[in-house]
Amino acid sequence: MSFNVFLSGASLHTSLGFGLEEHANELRSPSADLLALPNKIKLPIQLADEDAPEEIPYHLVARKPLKDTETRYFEILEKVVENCLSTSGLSEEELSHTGLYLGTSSSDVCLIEQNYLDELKNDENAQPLNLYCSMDNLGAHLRKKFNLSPLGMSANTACTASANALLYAAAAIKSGRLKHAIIVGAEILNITTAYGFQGLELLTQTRMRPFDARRDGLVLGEAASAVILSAQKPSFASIELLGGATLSDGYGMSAANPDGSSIARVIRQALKQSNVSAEDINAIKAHGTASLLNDEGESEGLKQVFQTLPTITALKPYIGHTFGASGLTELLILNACLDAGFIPGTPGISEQACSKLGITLNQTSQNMENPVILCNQFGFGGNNTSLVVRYG
Amino acid sequence: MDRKAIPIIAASGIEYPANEEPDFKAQIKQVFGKQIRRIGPFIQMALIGAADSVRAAPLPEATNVYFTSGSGDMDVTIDVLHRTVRDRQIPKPLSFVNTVSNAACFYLTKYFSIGGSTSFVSTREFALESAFFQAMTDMSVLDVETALVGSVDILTTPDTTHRTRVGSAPAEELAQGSHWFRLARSDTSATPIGYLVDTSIFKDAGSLIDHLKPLLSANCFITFGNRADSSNSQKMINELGAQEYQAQKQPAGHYGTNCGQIFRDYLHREDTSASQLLYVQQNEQGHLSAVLLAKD
Repeated sequence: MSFNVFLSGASLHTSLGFGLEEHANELRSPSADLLALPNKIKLPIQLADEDAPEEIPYHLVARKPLKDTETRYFEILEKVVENCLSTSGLSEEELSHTGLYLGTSSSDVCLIEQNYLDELKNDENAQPLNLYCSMDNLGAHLRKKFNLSPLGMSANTACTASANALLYAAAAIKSGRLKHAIIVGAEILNITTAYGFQGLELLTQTRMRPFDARRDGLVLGEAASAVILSAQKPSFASIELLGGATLSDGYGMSAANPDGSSIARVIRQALKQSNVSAEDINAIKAHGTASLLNDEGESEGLKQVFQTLPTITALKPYIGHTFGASGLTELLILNACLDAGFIPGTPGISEQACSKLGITLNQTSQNMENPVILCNQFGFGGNNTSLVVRYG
Repeated sequence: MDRKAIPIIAASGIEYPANEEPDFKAQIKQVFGKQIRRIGPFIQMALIGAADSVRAAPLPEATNVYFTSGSGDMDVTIDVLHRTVRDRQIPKPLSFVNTVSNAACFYLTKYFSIGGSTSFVSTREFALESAFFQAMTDMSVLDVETALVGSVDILTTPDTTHRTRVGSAPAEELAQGSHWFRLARSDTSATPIGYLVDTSIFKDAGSLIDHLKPLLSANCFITFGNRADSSNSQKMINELGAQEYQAQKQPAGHYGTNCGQIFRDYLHREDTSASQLLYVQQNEQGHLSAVLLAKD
């Protein structure tokens, strides 16, 4: 059964800017600077390890410098949610029956780290996690602050979290349990993620180049995004979530099976659930982390499903890998570009297919009307998700 | 039975009070015939707790896992926070990877050959309820044949900080547990041990009563979570005409998903046939969650 639910009230904040218009403006004719390595930032905690870097390249959300962790965290997220709700056209009564589905990987860990750091300053024996622990603390805060329905949940499935939150909310709408849902993606800078990826040696020191022969890792990014999901089509052109699938992969904790089998399986199931065939897909928004194994698995999976590959675009080179927020955030960036009539390109990245992966990325903004798009997300813990959307 | 009710064909789990120190490594070896290296108590408890539900009958390809926790894998988070914030060291790669909430899902997939999706979902103060809600929702609209709904909550130290982490009062007993429920489509050939009739969250007692009253049978038990307000509870007992449930084995102590113990108690006892069990919990805001189970 396909979902056929519609997105409206899209709001997002990434390193490219705030709101749909700023994102479309940046991506229509992207400057070379946008694809360069972002500025290195000094993290709130410096490590004692001699080989630990003092600074790490990071795509921070635009115009929000790092200061006062707690204020910054809530300001970024609340502003995006507030903007989404105020442009949704839903009445207060409708909002009070709107369920909030949060997709995040790191959740409020930046606050947990800051809290522990502050307590250690006063007491060297202070305990970490000296607060109420729930993966839905942020979700509960947002439901209360914006007087939303008590129904809803947080999805914490690493890099697929907000894509999965979208699927869970779509199922709740399709089943009649909700008329509307607000989906929120959140990923704010924290040292666990930053130093964790540093420890895994997955960070590039050059630039993020998915599927490219020169790829050597990813750049970290922050993002906050929010959108309303409803069964009723809005009066303006919008994204329709036709369907999707999420499947688990027992191959490895930190990468999908590089033979592409598990990724091909989730794409095929997403297409089937959406009642579309591979030939119906006009474009693919790749997961494209620019890590060696993940790009290998994704390219193999795509080639197994598509006899002829459609236009492929990758958005992480612009905003970094925003982990749990990436599924929704990248979908809303596509939304912004499609509102302006184009699919974005990444000039100079995977212009020629590398012999091993055989994937070329879209190089320039390409006009596209009413396309059907496959959006991929793959995450730690063997969680693979594909969404199928149509714009129009 | 209501045609929308979802058969529960197995329930399993483990639970330990704070004064017991179970040997999870030995239990893992007993369940799987070998050790599983580099996993902590949270993932160990997930695997041990789920095993009997998984092995109750062959798992179909389209089996989804809906995993949850009140407080998550605090053990691995504490380890990473000690290392980074206190000791100023890079986190160990495996510890970092295991901080993702769905890390246990990888091991469930690998060791139980899960062919469908795995997810980690939670709602603050209503963790197991949210997993039941999503499983029930997906089974009603997607082609999901079997859902494994499960929870794990672990103990940490020191005791006083643990109470803050899990929202427990100073005098309350503490415990840890892992509870699993295997849901099947209504056309299943397996004999159900009970049914999941409904699960939802309500703004107040009035809306809960309005929604649930039409679903309740004459022989309905009701039980409340530790945060349920006594005046609300009495109102629900009176207006729903339900009798208070006396569990044969109460939860051993407080943890975020200890309602799983009550559900297992109800599903496994022999003297509750042709009845229903309504479990109600309350959150900080006064919202109420409800899970309604039934037995033939």
